[in-house]
Amino acid sequence: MFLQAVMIVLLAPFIQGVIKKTKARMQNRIGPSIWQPYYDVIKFMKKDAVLSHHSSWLSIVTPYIVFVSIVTAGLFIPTYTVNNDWNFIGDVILVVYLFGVARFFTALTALDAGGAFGGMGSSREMALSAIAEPALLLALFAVCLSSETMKLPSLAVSLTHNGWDWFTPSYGLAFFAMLIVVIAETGRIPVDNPDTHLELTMVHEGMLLEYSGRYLGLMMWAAQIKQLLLLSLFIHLFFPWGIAGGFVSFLLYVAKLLALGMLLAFIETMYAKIRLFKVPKLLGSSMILSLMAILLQVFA
Amino acid sequence: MEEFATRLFVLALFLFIFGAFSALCFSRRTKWANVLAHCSSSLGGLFGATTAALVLSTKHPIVVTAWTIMPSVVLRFKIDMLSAYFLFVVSFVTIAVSLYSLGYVTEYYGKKPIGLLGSGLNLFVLSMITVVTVDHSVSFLIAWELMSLLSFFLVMTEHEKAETRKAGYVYVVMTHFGTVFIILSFLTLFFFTKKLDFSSFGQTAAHLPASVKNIVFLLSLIGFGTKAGMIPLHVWLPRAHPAAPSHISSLMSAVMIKTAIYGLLRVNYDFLKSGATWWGAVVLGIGVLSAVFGILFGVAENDMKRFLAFSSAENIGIIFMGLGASLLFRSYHEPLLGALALTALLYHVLNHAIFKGLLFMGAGSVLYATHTKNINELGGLIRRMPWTAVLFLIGGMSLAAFPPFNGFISEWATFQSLLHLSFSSNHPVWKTAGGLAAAALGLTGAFVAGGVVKQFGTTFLALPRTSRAAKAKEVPLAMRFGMILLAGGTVVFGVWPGLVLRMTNRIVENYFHQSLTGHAMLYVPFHRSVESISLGWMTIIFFVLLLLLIALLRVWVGKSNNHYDETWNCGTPLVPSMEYTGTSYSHPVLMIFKRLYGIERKVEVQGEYVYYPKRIRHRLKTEAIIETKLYRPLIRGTVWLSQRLRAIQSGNLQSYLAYMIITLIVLLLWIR
Repeated sequence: MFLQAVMIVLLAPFIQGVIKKTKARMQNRIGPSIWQPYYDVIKFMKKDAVLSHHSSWLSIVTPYIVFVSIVTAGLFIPTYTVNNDWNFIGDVILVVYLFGVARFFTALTALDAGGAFGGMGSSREMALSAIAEPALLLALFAVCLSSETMKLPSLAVSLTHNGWDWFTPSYGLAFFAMLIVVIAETGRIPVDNPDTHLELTMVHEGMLLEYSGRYLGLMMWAAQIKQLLLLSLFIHLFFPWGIAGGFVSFLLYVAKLLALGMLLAFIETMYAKIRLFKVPKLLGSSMILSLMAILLQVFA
Repeated sequence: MEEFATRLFVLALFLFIFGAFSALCFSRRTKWANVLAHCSSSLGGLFGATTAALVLSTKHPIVVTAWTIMPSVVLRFKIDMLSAYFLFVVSFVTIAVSLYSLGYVTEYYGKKPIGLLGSGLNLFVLSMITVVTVDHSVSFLIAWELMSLLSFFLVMTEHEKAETRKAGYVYVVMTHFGTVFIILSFLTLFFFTKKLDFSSFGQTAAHLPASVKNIVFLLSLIGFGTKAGMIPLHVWLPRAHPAAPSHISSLMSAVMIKTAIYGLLRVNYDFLKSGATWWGAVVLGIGVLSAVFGILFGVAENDMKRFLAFSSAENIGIIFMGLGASLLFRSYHEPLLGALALTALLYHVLNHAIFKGLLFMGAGSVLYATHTKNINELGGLIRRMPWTAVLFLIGGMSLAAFPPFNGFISEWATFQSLLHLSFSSNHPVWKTAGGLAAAALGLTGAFVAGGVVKQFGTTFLALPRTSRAAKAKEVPLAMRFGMILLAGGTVVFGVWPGLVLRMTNRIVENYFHQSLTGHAMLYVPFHRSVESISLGWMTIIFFVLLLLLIALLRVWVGKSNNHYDETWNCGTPLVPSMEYTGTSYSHPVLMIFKRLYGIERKVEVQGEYVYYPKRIRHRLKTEAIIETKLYRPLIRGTVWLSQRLRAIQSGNLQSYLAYMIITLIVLLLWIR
């Protein structure tokens, strides 16, 4: 249990580093070292923090709540092993709502200092997430429909045992639906640009503008962990091979993460960020894909 | 034990009557009236809640005959399990609201007759308790009417405002529209059973022909649905709740609309007992519509209490989703799943009562301190009203169904009911519908979170936007205490579902013969899988991880060195007008769902050159499409019809005599 917590916390910056490096190489840059996110986190932890005069206790508390909510959610997502001991505490709905808690506090504290940038990011995030959440739930449902449970560990078991076949059209559609949701939830191009500080485009970065020092470090680290968890969820839903546990499956898990991370970097290089008001259409298309996946399963 | 419970209940009733009369008697002495009215109502609430808890724990219904007018005309209270549960909900919220009112009505000292206000509150609670406990349809209807009228009077407290008067009239019209349908449904039952008391309804109504049952179901759904505020019959809700004094709106929104749920459960589970499949589908559909549209209209609101009123419509939608699912499971003979859905809806009834009561009191506190509920005039209250801020945040998180607060656990149970609707069913339509309804619930949850961030963020965070907000002070102790009581409820009922499940299980057992229990977690065994949730464990893990994180950071780098400086604002000093307002916060949502809001946007730029304007005027107008597209044509049609009918009203005596003779001839012909 706590081994998993430690693992996801330590692995998250590595995946971020690999994605950044891949992106840099694809754009013909050398790019920072893949260990750079670790150096960043360590540096931020040691820095002094500057807070706004106008901010309240929320600015100090939020980074901790966000970080811990996301790590807690991570305990209910199977990574390289299925741990059934903690299965009774919650299922994927709890995971979705714990991510919700993190987002809620991030968006709330973005308004704390009173700057317009925070409000901008916060209002955009909440509007987009309202459409991303049903898309996520529908995509999850499309996969879970055949195994009849929302418990993730049981899901893998039934997926692998019930003659699981990636090449059914329903699965393929659900795959693309989920991919769109993962891109939206990790805040990557074409939904949000993680590297920009331009007020016209930023969503997540806008909310982090007033953080500094350890607080910024925790928020960024939390975002990386959330990204890792969404990738793990994706892997768990579509490629749950070799989840028996042990060191080999850990290596396999990391390999799958890296492959998926590179795919994200590839998509990010190939596409430009789309307009904010086009994003609901993208997520809408994800919902329609999920719906088609569900209908195919129901009527086939 | 039974006798003790009976006595407690009678004592509770007398306390409310005492509160009402003593407040009137002392109406000259404002302070006395306030203390007498609200202390006795909170004590009455305490006794009522204890009675309910006793009845539910001993499983023995109690009967109190209050007044025998004639052998067949008796005012009798009968508290069975369903009544006891709703009695608990009403009484528990009453305790907190009464304590809060002790402080809140000081606002009205010298402006309004406190005696009348206090006595109104007592009688209003008494009428609600009567509604959920009487066992005769006539007494029920009388109590129902009293409840509607008393709440109408209380809504009209600030009748000097034209807005309030309008709200009151819309409310009184809508509530009577609903009452007509309830009367019709009871009359239909009476027509076939020849009896008027609930127990006779319960014995014979189940064997009625299917067409009659359908009629009774539809009539009661419209009748009670109006009171519950389901969309599209919700129009009174966002008007009446903001207009009423906050402690009253808190009672109305938290408890009064739940009496309609009580009525629906009584009719569907106690009287009709079984029904067609489409009943569940209709209720589920209305639930989805109410939830999604309720919150979509809510997020656009800049008036705190209007937002909360719309979110009541949304929560009624969630309750209806549970009801629809449980009716569907009943008709498909899936008792375990039916039990789960019924538990979900009953749990949500209690949870919504608690957090909505808390939030309305929070909004009332802001109103008390700043005299405005327009969030665009507020800001920075977290420093001036720290208690209210934290309590409002707890209520808001519970409203947005975030763990570990109680809103989450009932929403989770609703999620499971909807998902298992599709998992268990073999019918392709239900398989798809269950998933879509769950996605709609997810959409609702995310919008509520956005709405809460908007309301809390603009009201409590950053800089005060007006001097009113800058001068705000924390509210009196009594008000805080009332809110703390309910905030405690949101935590306890969230992490310890066993407490509530013990109560709901009594009702569920009666109707589905399945037991759904749990202690530290909600645990549902299914045919193929086991679903469970334990927010208590989750909270423990959360805090362990939090402590580990803090300890690790302390050991590794020590305490954080915080400096305080200006907010980054591109180099210029920050002034309140630069902050994001409530209007700008919901702008993206408005733009995404443009069609739904019927947005009219006007931008006027003044100046010679467009890129360097001297002045920009930006106006955004939204229209309530349900009102313009549905109600206005209806009203227009009614007016048109009445005008046509006026043609026969000539005012001429001869012609009226002619009408009478024609009617007589027609009647004689018909009878022959």
